[in-house]
Amino acid sequence: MTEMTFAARVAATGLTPKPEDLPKLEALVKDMDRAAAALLHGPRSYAEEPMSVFRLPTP
Amino acid sequence: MDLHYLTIAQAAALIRTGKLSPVELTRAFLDRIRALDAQLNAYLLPLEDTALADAKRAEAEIAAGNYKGPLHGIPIGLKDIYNTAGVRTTGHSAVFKDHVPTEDAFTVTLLRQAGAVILGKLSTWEFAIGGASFDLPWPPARNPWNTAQDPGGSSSGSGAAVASGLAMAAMGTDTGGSIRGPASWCGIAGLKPTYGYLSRRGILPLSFSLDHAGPMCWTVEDCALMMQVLAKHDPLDAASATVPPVDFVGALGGNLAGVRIGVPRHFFESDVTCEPDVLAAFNQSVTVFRALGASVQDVTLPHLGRFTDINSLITAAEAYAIHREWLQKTPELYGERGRLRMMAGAFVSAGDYINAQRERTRLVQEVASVMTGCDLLIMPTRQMVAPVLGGYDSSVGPSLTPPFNMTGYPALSLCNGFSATGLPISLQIAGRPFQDHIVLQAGDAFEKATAFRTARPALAATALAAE
Repeated sequence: MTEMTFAARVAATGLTPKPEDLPKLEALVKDMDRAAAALLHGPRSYAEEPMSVFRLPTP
Repeated sequence: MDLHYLTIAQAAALIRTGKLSPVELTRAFLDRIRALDAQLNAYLLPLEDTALADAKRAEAEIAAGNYKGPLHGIPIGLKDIYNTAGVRTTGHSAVFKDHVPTEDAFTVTLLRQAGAVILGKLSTWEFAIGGASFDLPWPPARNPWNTAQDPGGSSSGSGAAVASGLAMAAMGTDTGGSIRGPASWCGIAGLKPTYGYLSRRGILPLSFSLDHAGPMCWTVEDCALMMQVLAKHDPLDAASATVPPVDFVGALGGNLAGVRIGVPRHFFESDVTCEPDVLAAFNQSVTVFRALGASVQDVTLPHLGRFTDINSLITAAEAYAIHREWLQKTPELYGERGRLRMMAGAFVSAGDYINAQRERTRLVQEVASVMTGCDLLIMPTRQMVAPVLGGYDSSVGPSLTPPFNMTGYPALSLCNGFSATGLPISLQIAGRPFQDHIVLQAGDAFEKATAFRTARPALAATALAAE
């Protein structure tokens, strides 16, 4: 599978950033991609119930 | 008497006994805003007429024997993402430049019910994200300790106004450090309460699961006075907690004997590095806490970068969910910094977002486990003092505030020194959920054992001499 270019990824979002925005946006996205990839290396069991809701216990 | 430098506690004592008029107090602040704010840009919209009307009403109520409590007649500013009925609420953005809400935010209603005087709407980073920007309809706030420097953000106007005596207190919000950052660089006290303690209803959202409202004041004691009014259950905010009332003010005082304090030293000695002045001030603060009777020992938490990464992913994804339509249709109305940070959220996949929330829950469990052995955590709030205005990029590298947005635990920033260049340095105190009163108790004890509340910005001192 070929990797999508950043321009193609932008087009897929429906966003139309200014051409001069693209390098800065790409740097931000690259950092997000790194952070997301790092998530997969945590000591977490994938058998657990997904936790997409955040709640704190009350005293 | 310098009315604009009174704390809430001091002013309330005078107002309650009829020695200070809320009208006189409010006029002093309005005069000062008129004289000084062109240098600071703390206010987007001062509310002279309605503030004076609020003050006259407070004065009449008090004269009639209906004193409501310590915020009655106290002049307070609001970050301009707090909705105010009939008054423009812009988020410091052209996107919302004509946005006039029909209702007050729940917290604003509570302040009004307590008799507070709303002085005006304060500068912020655009929609509380990005950084100080020069491409918005209004200029960014400046740091009163040195107007060439950044006041921090996103509650930039709140920090600048309180430090310079342009508001006795202010409301801020905090998604990754936006109360504690400006509290740090402006040398004031700012509390990010436990998630769910303060209602978010009527505050322009940035990140539904990370946004916190909170008070910003000159002293920790004043933050406690504000919390006494603000910590109320809101049945219309799904995250609002139902907890028994706490006497935040009554918890202040006394020593810290028996309090166990943990120091995640790796956060600021290896995960990131601090400026030498910041580290020296922190180590001196440890000595103060020990002298107050607390035990202090190092603890180990997950790597700071882990918290910051997850905070960034969740913030970007949730902010994009909120702003998607405007970012697609009218991106030109945003400033560059806010636009790019929120557009980046379009690239966070649903799977990445859900995994970030799962990892967040695991990190909460890890922090909770460490905190079975200690009551509080302390560390610097920011690893550096205020940089040049516009030079700070909140998206670059780990910082010391997101762990407590991630966990939802309460965290307080307060001044613990000054750099060789005369800029404030700060300490962060975090506690267990809904033990905000213990965090405030420790902060108040620290403030009263040290002398960092005696200095005010030179800008204010200069202006004072001219008045």
